[in-house]
Amino acid sequence: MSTVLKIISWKSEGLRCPDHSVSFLNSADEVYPISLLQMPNGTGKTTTLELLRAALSGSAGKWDKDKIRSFRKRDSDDDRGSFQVTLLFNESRITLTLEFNFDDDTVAYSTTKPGIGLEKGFNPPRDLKKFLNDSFVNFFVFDGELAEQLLDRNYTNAQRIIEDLFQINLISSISSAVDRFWSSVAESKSAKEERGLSRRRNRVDDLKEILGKRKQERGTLEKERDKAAKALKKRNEQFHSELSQQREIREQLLEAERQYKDLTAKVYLSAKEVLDEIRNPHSLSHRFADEMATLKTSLDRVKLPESTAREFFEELADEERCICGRELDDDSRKAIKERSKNYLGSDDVSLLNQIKTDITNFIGPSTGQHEENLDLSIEALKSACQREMEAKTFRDQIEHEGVLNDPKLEKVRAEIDGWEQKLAQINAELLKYDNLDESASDSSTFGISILAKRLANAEKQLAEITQTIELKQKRDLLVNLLKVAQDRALQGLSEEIGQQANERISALMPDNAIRIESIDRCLNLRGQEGGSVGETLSVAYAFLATLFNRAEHQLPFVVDSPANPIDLKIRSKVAELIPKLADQFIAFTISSERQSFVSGLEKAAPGQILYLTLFRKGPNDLEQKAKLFTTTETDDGISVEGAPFFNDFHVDTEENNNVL
Amino acid sequence: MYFRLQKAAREWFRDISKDMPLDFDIYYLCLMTGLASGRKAEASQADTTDLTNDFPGVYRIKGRIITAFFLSQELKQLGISFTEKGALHTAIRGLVDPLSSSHLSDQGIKEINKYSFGGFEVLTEYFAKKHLDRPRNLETFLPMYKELIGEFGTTDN
Repeated sequence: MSTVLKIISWKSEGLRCPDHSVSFLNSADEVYPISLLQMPNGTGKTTTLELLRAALSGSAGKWDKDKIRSFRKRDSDDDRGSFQVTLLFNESRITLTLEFNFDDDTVAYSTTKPGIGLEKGFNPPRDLKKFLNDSFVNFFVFDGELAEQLLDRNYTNAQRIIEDLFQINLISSISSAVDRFWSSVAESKSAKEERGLSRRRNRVDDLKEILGKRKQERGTLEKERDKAAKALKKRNEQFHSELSQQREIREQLLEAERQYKDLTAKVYLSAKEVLDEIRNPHSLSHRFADEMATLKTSLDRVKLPESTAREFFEELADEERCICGRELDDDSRKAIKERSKNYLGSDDVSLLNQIKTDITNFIGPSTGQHEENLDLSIEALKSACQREMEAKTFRDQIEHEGVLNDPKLEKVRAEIDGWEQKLAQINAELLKYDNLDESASDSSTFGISILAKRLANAEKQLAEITQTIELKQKRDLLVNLLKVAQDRALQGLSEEIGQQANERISALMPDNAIRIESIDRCLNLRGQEGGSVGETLSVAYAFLATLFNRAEHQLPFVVDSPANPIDLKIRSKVAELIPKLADQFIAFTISSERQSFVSGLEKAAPGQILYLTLFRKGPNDLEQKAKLFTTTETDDGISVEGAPFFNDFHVDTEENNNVL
Repeated sequence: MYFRLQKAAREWFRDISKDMPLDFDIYYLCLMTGLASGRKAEASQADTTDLTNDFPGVYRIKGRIITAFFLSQELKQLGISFTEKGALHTAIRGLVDPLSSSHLSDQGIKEINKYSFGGFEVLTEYFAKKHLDRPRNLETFLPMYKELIGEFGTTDN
C-alpha cells in the first residue's frame, strides 16, 4: 500500500524554544506544498528540529535525564512541557505528543489515531512504522550533517534509504518465510536414525543461534562505530569552530586546511593513475616487456602458430586423394592423422595470433618506455604525498599555536584522541566478523560467511537424514533466486537513481564536474572523496529528489537551511528543484539565504508558499512592526504570517539573541 | 576453473582494498610478484576462494598480455627452449585453451594460481623485512610494490 504522509501542524509549550503553534493548512484546509519558516540561527530552531525528529521517530525514549532537562524553558518554574505534531496519513489524522515532566526529568509519548483514540506510548499505525523510526526520519527531516553522511563510507545510509523506500527488504522476509516452512517440515519428519537426526538438528539449531548472535554483535558494534564517528566529528567541529574564533589564525588555518584537502585529493587521483599503469605488466618492468617481446619473436622464428591448422590435415585424411593428387591408402591416412596432432587447432592458432598482436600493440617498438612512464607517475605520486605531508604539518602547526593560545582546546583535543582510539578499536573489533579462518570451532568462530557456510552444510546433512532433500533443494533455489532478485533490484535501482541524480546535478551545476560514480553504503563520487558544503548539499538534494520522485510513498521533506551553503548562482536552480522533491516541503530558513532562493521558489511554485517568521518576544520595535501584520502571540514568542514581513526580516535582527 | 584468491591475501590487503574496486587487483598484484620472482606456492582449497573464471573489468582487454607474460615465465620454468618448436608447441597447448574465457586450460589456471600464491608469500616476506605488517594505504604501497618488482628485475630469476 502506498503511503501519503503530511505534517498538518505542530505545537510547542513550556520548552526551551518560545511557545509556538504552526499550521501548514491553507484556507481550503489543504497542506501548503511549500512552507518557509524563518527562524534565524540560534537554539530555538535546533530545538524545534530536534523535537520534531523525536516526535516523529520515537527516539526520545532513549534520552537520559540530562538530555531531557536540557529542553526545560530557561528561568521558568513550570515543570511541564509538551511538543505535539499532527500528521495526515492517507487522509487520517494522527497526533504524536511528547510530554515532558521536569519534576523527575522524564518524557512520555502519547498517540492519537482514528478508531483507537488516545493511547499511551509511541504507537504510529503499522504501515507508518517503517518510516517513523530513528534512521528513516533523518532522511525527510534533513540537514547538512545528513548530506555529509550520505557521502561518508562510515555511514550506511545511502543504500538503506533505497532499501527502505522501495521496501526491498520485503524480499528477504519472503526468504525467511520459505526457510521457516522448510524447517517445520524437516522437524516433523520421522528419522531413520533418531540419534543422528537429533545430533544434526542440534547442529543446525546451534549454528543458527551462533550466526544470529554474531550478526547481532556486529550490528551493535556498527552502531557503536557510527556513534563514535559522530562524536568524533562533533568534537572535531567544536575544535575547529573554537580555533577559528581566534582571529589571528582563522584565515591562515582556513587556507592551510584548503591546501591540505586539495593535496589529499591530488594524492588520491595520482595513486589511481599509478594503479592504472601498474595493471599493465609491461609497465611494471622493462624486463617483463622484453620477455614478452622475446616470446613473440621466438614464436615468429619457429613459425608458431603455423599457417596451416590441424583441422586441414584431419580433413585431408578423410579424402580419397592427397592434394598432390596421390591416392591415399589407410597407412597414409593414419600417418596424416597422427602427425596432424603436431599442429595447433584453428582456435589455438587464432588465440596465439591474437596474443602476438596484443604484444605488438601494447608494447610497441620501445620496451622500456612504459616503465619510464610508470616511474614518472610514481615520482609524481611521491611528490604529491610529500606536499600533502608538508601541508598537514603546516596545518597542524597552526592548530598547535591555536591550542597554545587557548588551553581549553587541549581538553577537546584529548577527547578527539580518545574518540579516534575508540573508533580504531571498534573497527579492529569489527574485522573479526569478516575473518575467513575455518579452523576454529563453531562457538569460537566469528567469521559470518564461514558460519553461514557451515550452516548450509549442516542443513544439507539434516535434509539428507530427514529425507527432505528435494524440498531443501527447492528452498535453496528459491532463496537464492530471491537473493539474486534482491541484489539485482538494489543494484538496478542504485544505478538508475545514480544516473538520474547525475542528470539533476548536471542541471543544477552545469559548470561543475562533480558526479555520483556509484551507490553502495554511501554515495561514491567520481574521482573525488568529497565536495564543498554547497556541492555536498546539491548532490544530496539531487539524490533525494530522484528517490522521492520515483517511490510510491509520498513523505514530507523538512530541511534546515536549504540554501545557505549554496552559491548564489545555484540557489535559484535548487529552488526550482524543491517543488519536485516532495508534495510538502518545509524549510527552516534564515534571512541571509533568501537571496535568489525565495524568488526561485516563487517562480517554481507561484501562490503555493506559506511564509512564517517566528521570533522571541523582546525587541519592542520588531513587536510593533509585527503587529501591523497577521500575528499569533504566546507568552514568549510571536509568529507572523505572510511574505511582506518575511522578506523584510533582516540579518542584523537575527544576530541578537531575541530569536527563537 | 577459477582464478583463486588466498583468504589471507584478501585479509592482508584489507586496508587498501577499498581503493581497488576489483578483487582481481589483489590477485594481479600477487601474480606479478610471483611471476617476477619465479616463486610458485601451493594453497589448499580451504585457504582460497574462487575469484572469477575470466579477466574482469579493466583487465578484460589486458587478458591476453597477462597470459603472454605468464607463458613466457612458465615456459622458462619448464626449461623449454624457445627454439625447440615441438616442445614449445606441446607446452603452449597444455597451458592455453582458446575456448576458455581466461584463455587458459585447467592446467594453465592451476599453474598461474601457484604464481599468485607464491607472489603473496614474497610480498609478505618483503614487508616483514621492512618491519611492516601489511599495506595501510594505496599511495605508499604502490611505490613500494614497484620497488619490489624492480629488485627482481635486476637479476635473472
